[in-house]
Amino acid sequence: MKHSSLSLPEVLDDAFAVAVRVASPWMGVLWLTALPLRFLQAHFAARVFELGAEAGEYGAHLLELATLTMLAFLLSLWGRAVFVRATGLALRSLESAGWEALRLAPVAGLSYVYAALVFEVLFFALGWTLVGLPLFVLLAGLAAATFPLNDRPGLLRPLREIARHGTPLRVLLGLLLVFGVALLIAALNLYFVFRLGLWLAGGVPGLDLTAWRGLLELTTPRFRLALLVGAGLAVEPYWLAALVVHVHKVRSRESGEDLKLRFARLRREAA
Amino acid sequence: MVCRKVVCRECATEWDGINHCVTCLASRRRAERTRSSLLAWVAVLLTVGLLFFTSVRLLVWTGVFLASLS
Repeated sequence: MKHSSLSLPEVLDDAFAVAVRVASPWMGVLWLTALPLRFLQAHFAARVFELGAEAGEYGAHLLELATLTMLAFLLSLWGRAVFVRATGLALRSLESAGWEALRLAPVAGLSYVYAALVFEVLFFALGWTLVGLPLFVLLAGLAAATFPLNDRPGLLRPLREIARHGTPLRVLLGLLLVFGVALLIAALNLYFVFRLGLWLAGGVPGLDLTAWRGLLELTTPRFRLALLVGAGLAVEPYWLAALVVHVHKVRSRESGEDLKLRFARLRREAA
Repeated sequence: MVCRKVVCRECATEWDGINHCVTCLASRRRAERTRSSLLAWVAVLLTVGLLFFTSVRLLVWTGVFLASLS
């Protein structure tokens, strides 16, 4: 296989095209299942920082919140798995995926939950160092993108599949950089949308916006977390689609499926 | 073709770049099923449970640790 032939713009182009094709309804499914997790994560972070140095004394309350967050994490994994399957099916058939996307193989699903939890644990244990953060984000994304390849249960197989598709590193690092910048731009856009909304609401006579002005300030931690949640939700479908395209391209160049798809596309264009 | 029998193109199914006849595909499927043993299922399920339990506690620990730093 020639890894060097895989380029970042090619992956990004295909990812955008396929994400648009599966947007209705699968992007909605992804967002709906991710929303409870993102809000609970933001609430947990805000609560911890409100408690500050006394957070240790509220162990039971934080444990309750953490359990809810992790249950929401399991729900979000289902949404991610459905979106990844829909993207994979759309890539292979050149058409939008139907209800078949909901039919997840139990083995593949369980392997995905296992791999995602492994990286979540590593993220919690080492993410605060900031150095490992992008690495765990990438590994968690690759766990989602490679989950349909797990046809047998096992503790090493899902991790082996992730390692097998972890090349070319140049493309994956490029994707991390592009989506890191995209996250910042999405957060900035969202901030200006909120400010614009506030400015427009200011034109409504008799409407007291004093409280909202305080809440929608960048100095408010919960507003900063809300911006991060919104930006994450906006970028996530394209990030997942890019990783699915990457995995698909690495695999199809081994089997020659890329050539078959190219011929199918040419035939369709000719017709 | 694993069994080396001659079959027409319509009867062959391509999987992972190799042509298989119906009998070969069925035997492959049976072999795959046998391999996915109950033991592997139990091991993965137990590990998932353990990881879930650990992740909840680790999330609290990380939160309290970061809050103590700020």
